[in-house]
Amino acid sequence: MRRRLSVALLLLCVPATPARADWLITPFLATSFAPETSFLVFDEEQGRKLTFGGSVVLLGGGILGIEGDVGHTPGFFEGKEPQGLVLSSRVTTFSGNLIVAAPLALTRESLRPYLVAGLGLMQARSKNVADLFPVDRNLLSATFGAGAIGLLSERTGVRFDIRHIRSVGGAMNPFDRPGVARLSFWRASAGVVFRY
Amino acid sequence: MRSLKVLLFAFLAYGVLEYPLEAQTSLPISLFERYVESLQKQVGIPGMSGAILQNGRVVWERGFGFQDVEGAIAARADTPYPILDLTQTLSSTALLRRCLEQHYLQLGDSVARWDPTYPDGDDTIVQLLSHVSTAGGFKYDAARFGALREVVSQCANRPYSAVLAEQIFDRLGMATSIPGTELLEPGSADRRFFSSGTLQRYADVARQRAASYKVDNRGQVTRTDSPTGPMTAASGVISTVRDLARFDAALGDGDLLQSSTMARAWENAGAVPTGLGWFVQRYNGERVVWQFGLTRDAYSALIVKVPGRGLTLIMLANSDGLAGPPYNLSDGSVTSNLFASLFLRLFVG
Repeated sequence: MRRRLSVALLLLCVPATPARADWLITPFLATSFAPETSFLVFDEEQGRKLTFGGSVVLLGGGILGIEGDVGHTPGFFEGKEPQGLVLSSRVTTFSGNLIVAAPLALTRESLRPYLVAGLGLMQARSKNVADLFPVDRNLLSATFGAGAIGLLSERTGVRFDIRHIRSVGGAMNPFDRPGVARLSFWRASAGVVFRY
Repeated sequence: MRSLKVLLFAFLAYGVLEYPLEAQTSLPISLFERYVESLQKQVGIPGMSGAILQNGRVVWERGFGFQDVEGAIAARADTPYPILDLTQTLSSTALLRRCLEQHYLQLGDSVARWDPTYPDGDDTIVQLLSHVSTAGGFKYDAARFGALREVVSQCANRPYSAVLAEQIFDRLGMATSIPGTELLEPGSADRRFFSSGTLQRYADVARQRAASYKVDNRGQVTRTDSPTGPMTAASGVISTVRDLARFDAALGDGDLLQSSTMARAWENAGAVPTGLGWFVQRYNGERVVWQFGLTRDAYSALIVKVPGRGLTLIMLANSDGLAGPPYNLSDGSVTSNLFASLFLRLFVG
C-alpha cells in the first residue's frame, strides 16, 4: 500500500515535458466484442467483428494528452447466419478523448501505459430484409479504456488498446426494447504508431 | 372406374391437406415468421401462438417457444391462453347478435335501464361499447366496458357466460374456449346452463392453459401467478388462436352478425378511435380493426384485421411482451406495436 502511494506521488510530481509534444498517428485493426443494444436486431450471435480505424494523439513527455479517434465496424449487427434478416449494417464512432499516460521520464524506452476517456458520436445503421425496422441512429457516446504505446524506433512504434464505447442518453425509438444502454461494445485494437 | 374416382379423390384430398398452408397464399408468410421468431426472443415472450387468416381461411398458424418453460412444453396453435381484453370483441358480438339484432335493446339505451345498480345513469350502451366517456371523449376503460356483462345477461335472461357459450363458442365449435374461469368451480346456477360434460371440458382446457411469465430487461424469465379475474364483458375468456380463427372466419362470413351491424361495429363511433368492441383506424388507406389484451407480467393478446384485404392476425402470448410497454395501445394506435406493424407493413404495404 505504501509503495503504491509512493508511485502515485511520484507520478503526480513528475512535470510534463514542456518543450516537445509528439503527434502520434495510429492506424489500427481491432475486434469489437460483447455488444449490447436495445435496438431491435434480427440476427443472432453478432459476437466479434473486425473494426478498423485510426487515431491521432498529441502527447508530450508528461502525463496528459489528447486524442481524436475514429473506428468503423462493418457488419456490426449481422450474425453468422448467411441468410439472416440483416442485409447490411455498420457502427462508426468518432470521439475526442483525454489521455492520462505514464510520464516518459518514468517509462523511458519501455511500453508507456495510458488511460483514455472521452466523448463522441456513435453512428449505428442497419438495413433489414423488406426494409423493416431499419436502424439509423446518431448517438452521443462515451469512451473509456486503457492501452500502452511502445516506440520501436525514433519514428515508429506499436499501440495496444482496449476500450469500452457506449451510447449515453438519446431518446427511445418506439420500437426500441426497454434497457438503459442503446448501444455499447468493447473494442480491442493493435496499431502501428507513426511519430511526428 | 369407381375405385379410380376414389383414388383420384384421395389424391386430391391429400394434396390439399399436405400442401403447406403458406403455399396456398401469395403472402410473404415465411418472412413474417422469421421476423416473429426473432421478435419473440427480443421482446421477451417465453411462449406465443399465432394465426393468419386470409378470406376466412387459416393460411398460417404456429406456436413459438414454450407454453410451460419449466416443463419444456412447446406452445402450439391450440394452446389456451387468457385472451384478456380480446374478450370485448366476443362480448360486443354477443350483445349485438343476441340483444340488438333481436330488438331487445337499442344502443342508445342507458346502461342503468338494464342494470339498475350501474352507478352513472347517463351512460349509454354505445358509450361503453366504444369507450366514450360520460363527458363525450375517448377514454379506454375496460372496467367500464365490463359492466355490459349485466346488460347482456338481462337482455338474454341467462348468465353472461351461457350467452357467450351458446351464441358463439358452441355455435362455432370453439371447443377449447372457456367463457370465464368461474366455471372451473361451478355453482348450482352454472350447472343449470352447462352440462357436466361441458364443465369437464372447460376444466381440461384450463389445465392446458399456458403458464404466465415475467421477463425482465435482461431476459430473465420468472413464472408468475396466473391471474384469474372474474368474468366480465371486457375480460375473462380463455381461448386459443385456432378457436379465435373460427370466430374471425364467422364474422367475415356473416354467420354471426348482419352485414349492417358488422359495418357499424367496425366504423368509428364518432371522433374516437373505436367502433363497437373494436379499435378502428386507418393504415395506408385501409381500415384496420383491432383489439389488444394486456396483464402486466402475465399475458398479452392481439388481433388485427384488415377487412378490405380479408386479412386477420391473431396472437396470444404468455408474457406481456406482445402488447406491453412501450406500446400504449390503449391510446388507440396499433401501428406503434411491433407485431401489428410487422403484419401491416408486410401484408398491406
